[in-house]
Amino acid sequence: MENLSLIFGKKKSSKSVAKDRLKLVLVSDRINCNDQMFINLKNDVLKTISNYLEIDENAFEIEIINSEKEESPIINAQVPIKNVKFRA
Amino acid sequence: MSEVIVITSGKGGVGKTTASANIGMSLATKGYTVALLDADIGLRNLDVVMGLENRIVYDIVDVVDGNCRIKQALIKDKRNPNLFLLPAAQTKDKEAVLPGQMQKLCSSLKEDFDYVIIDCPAGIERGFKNAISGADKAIVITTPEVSAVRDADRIIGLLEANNLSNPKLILNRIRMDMVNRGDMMTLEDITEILAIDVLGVVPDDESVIISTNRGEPAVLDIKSRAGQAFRDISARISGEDVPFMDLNTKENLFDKLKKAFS
Amino acid sequence: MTENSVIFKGNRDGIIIYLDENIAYEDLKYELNKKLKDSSTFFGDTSATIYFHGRRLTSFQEEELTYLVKNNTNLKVNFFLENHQKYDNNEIELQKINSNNKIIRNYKKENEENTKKQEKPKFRKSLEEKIIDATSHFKNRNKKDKNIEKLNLSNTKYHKGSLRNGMSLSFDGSVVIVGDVNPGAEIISVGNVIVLGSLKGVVHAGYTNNQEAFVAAICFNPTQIRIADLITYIPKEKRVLDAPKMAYIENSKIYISDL
Repeated sequence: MENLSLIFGKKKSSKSVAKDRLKLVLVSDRINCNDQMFINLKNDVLKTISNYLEIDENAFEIEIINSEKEESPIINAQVPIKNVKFRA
Repeated sequence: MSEVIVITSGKGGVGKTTASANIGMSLATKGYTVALLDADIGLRNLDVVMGLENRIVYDIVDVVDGNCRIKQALIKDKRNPNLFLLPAAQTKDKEAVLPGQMQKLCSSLKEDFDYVIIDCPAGIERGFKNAISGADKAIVITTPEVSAVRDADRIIGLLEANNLSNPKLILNRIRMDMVNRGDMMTLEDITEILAIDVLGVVPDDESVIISTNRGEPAVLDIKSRAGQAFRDISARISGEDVPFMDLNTKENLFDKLKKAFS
Repeated sequence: MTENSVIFKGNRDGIIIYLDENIAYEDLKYELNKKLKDSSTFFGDTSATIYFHGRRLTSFQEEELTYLVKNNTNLKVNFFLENHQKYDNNEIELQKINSNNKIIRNYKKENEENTKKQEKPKFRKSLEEKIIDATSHFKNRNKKDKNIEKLNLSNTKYHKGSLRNGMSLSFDGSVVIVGDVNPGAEIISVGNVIVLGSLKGVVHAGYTNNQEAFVAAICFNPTQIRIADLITYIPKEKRVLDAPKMAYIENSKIYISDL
């Protein structure tokens, strides 16, 4: 039913608009509220990158932000590279 | 002269956030500069109702903690350049802000805006105390239900005890079909108990749910009767003398205009 | 003959002493004294309200006769009321206090349960004390009246304005609210509570254990009513909105009757 409306160029029903917005806003809320998950994420990312690159762990930063341009939240990471670990 | 108005109720779910969004948008449409302040830290909703949820970068706690300037946190509404939103924080709770900090924030906002509308959280604890600490005037919202009216009475008592005398009443979600059957309290029944002046009566209207779905306040919809009620309320806030809507008819502004031009 | 110049008549509300208005006051005094001495064993130790009837007395005379009664009997005299309009064997009609100084109370309705009692119900005595006290005080303002001193006049707090949900008013004395008491509001009084408006909240009169306290309101509709150590509420079937009523303790129960 929804797809038909899209095909014929009609406006989406307000409830679908609501559902979509709600999903996005909850993603944002859940990420921001889940501190432990975030800490684990940060550590795992650090570990994985360290497998390939030598990085400055003290200056390593990860944040999740709501960008004005994108619709959903994005991960912004600052990874200062000291050296490469593997050479091709 | 700038005014800081807090919109409160005691009971949750009676329409504070809807009213804040609509009154703010409507005053901005009239040409006044308006700052909307979401004081419900930890359970923010004003951003969603306004459709501004994905533009949040900084919030009220960032401002109060000094992590950013007020201007950086204020979100300008794309539909109306007079209207700004200062969102609540989602990851903190009400202990993150002190009443004194709220007062300072409101004083700063007053310098740049004609109206500061504060969306107060439900309850009577810290969130409520924070929200009222910077306010000059108060609006109490209630629905025509025993529980809501009882809580409104408590809130009025607390407001009066905190120097917010003469709060005004908005009776929200009234259903004239039920009133006429005798199944719902009337405005008179409620003012008899609460004994405060009435700012407006808003009919229960599906268009409010649809407008929240889309993030488009009902005052922007010419066909919405609730929207019309909020437009009238804003007019009264700004000093105009507007007669109360006839709630017994199902006509909205669009119908009336059609009639006038037919 | 002087023998009938003083006549005692008792009923469940008290004792009426009829005084002949024609004989000399000194003779009357003598007669009363004699009759009291003869009857003292009959009266025993009861507590009773004494009414003098039939003769205009000066304050001084009233005081003297009162003194005689107290001295010659073991009667615990509560107060004296003169000049009631009507007297019938089984009922007394007093007029309600208003600015013209008349006292009304029709005891017929409320006394049906008390027909067996000789002694006047405690609550009503205390009510009369407070109401009459206002008139005799007015009358005797230039004279020190021993009777008034003996009556316990409580402090009264007058509160102008309504009590909203969440507000609580406690006072070490009686309370008069000139306004409403909304649901969720609470009054705690050591004495009586009178609401000149709607009473819809919780009220506790006679805190902690003054059985003589009462509660009255123009629109009597409390969520819960407490007097002394008793608690009750009005069951749904018996609720009448917007009616003036009062509540008091009688026979260890809280009674609610129309004002």
